Amino acid sequence: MIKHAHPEFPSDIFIVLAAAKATVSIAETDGIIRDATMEEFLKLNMENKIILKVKLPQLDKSKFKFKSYKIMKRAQNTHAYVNAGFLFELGPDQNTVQSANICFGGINNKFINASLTEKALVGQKLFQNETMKSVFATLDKELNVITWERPDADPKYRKNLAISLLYKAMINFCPSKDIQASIRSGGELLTRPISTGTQEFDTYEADYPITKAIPKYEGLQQTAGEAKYSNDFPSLPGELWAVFVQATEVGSKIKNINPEAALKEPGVHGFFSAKDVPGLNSFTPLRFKIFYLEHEEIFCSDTVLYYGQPLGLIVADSVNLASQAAKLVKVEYEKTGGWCNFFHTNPYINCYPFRKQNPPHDLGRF
Amino acid sequence: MSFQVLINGKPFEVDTLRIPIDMSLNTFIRSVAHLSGTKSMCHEGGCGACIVAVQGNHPVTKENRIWGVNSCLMPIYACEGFNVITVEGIGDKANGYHTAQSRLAQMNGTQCGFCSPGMVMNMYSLMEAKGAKLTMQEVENSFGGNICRCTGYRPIMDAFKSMAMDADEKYKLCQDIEDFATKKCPKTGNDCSGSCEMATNGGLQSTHLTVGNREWHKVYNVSEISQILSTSADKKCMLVAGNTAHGVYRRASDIQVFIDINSVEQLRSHSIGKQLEVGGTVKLTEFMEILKKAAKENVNFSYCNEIHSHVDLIANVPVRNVSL
Repeated sequence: MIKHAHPEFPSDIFIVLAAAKATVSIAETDGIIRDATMEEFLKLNMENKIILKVKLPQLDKSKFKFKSYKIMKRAQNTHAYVNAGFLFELGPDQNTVQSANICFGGINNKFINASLTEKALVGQKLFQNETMKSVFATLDKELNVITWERPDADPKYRKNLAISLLYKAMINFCPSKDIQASIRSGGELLTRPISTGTQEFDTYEADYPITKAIPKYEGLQQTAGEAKYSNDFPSLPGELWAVFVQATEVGSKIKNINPEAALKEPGVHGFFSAKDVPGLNSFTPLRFKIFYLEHEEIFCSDTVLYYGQPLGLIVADSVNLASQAAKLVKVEYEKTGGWCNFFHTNPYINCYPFRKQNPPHDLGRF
Repeated sequence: MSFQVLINGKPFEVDTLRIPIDMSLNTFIRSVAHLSGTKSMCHEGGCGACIVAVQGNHPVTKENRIWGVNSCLMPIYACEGFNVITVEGIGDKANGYHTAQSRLAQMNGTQCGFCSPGMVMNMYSLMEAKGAKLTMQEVENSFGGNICRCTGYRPIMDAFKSMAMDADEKYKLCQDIEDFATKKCPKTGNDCSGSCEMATNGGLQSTHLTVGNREWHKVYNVSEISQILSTSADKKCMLVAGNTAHGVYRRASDIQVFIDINSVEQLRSHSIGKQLEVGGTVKLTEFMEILKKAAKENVNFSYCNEIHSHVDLIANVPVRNVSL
């Protein structure tokens, strides 16, 4: 259902079910039940309907080849850059394609099947260099519809990834006698063995208890949840929560901040920004010159130095309320231009205009 | 109106006059039950700081099971009839610590300690779900949803892998006195006999609660869902199963009618025949088991092994335990 509500979501469940030609049974409130393919399901208005079940077909092992992949930022627990599912039906020669189902996620918010590539494959001998070459050329063209919505990875990379996954599946399906030994392993995913690690330290019995290993004193309290963190203490009467309002336009100047809408919310008690800081608007104690070289603002007062830089603080009764109210603060920016123009002859100066007013300290001085 | 939920065996009333309909299990544990061992952090089911174990009956097999969940995504109103087990419930200073707690501490698996209760509860849930058959590979593959930002994962994984059945001998030497501590029953104070009767509502009677101007329904069959949907045609409704989509795209704040469909038997069933049919609310963890079973039983379902490996890459174990 996430995929239904947000078609740009690279749903893994959707892609594997679509590739396996699964169907869903959908019940309406009047009791009518009907089956839909995964593609049809996406187009249905699902209001007041219930997905009763998913049906996966039997696929004759002597004819069908199935493979699916998910390539993501980390090994686990994140969305796919690109995911793919392939189902090929091969003829009695185990080579000629009878039907092909090639599905990709993470291309754009509509793309499911690479239909042109599927068509081009039917009747061809799959395990043949000429077929591969022409198929990849077709797929390359077909995937030109790829879109880029940040924070997705670069479309060129994702497109190449999609093509490589089809290649990977083909290597996997190909009988190993027909494939060069040097590329055979490309058909398999890397397998991670159980990780191991060791840690060594010196210990001198003569010096004990110095250098003697002892368990960490508070370890057990921590693992048992008995250790108290600041958020674990009961709330005090009149306790308030503060949430930062963060800048979004890097390189622009803050022209005006209007917290009016936020302050109108019941339970919101105040908004503080640079002008409310008594004394110097800086959290860097410059007397420790080894660590701190220049002033860094508590709240941004002028040019925004990075995405998310704090420019103010909303104070409210609860953390949820404060977070919601922080989003209601209106910030007007003034574009300064020339920011991060790496093509300028002196990119460094152009990239960091604030340094012109605020030259870095000479490290040699101390 | 109210219903009961057990936390570490102790009953708590969820009173519709006091508890908002969108309160999470996490908020309930921390601010109502005042158990601060369960942490809260990302509110997206991504960091694992809030993991607790939930004990309840499977709606189809009626088998009493324990599974790990991200308490930040679990609505408290969906916890009727469950016994929620928190890090305080498996061991403490007074009653002796659980092996997962003592081993993690002993093998230097904590630094700031903020992720530790979540790590421990994920391990506890795995141990309860897989029993003595838990392997090192399974342990290593099951912590994708637990983030540690300081100690590093090596000592954490070493500690938990040392509790697997195929652990190295050198780890097995780490048996400690806490291993022999038995769980005490929070109700009677005696040793846990493992045969506790679960709080149930005495049958398959659906529950209809009004919380302010919003409604919560827990139903047991599909026709009840249809009935509520058609009588609430003018209201914004949501079918509640795992509520894990909320971790990806936040739920709309104006939903008026929540329908908890987790206990609808028809939607939690499956059958392996001409086709492999899997109910709409079968959890991904169950789906993985079904896929393996189907592949084993019929060669024409052997492609389900591929799908199994793919589902293993979706989200993380406590999310898969409740999502579909």
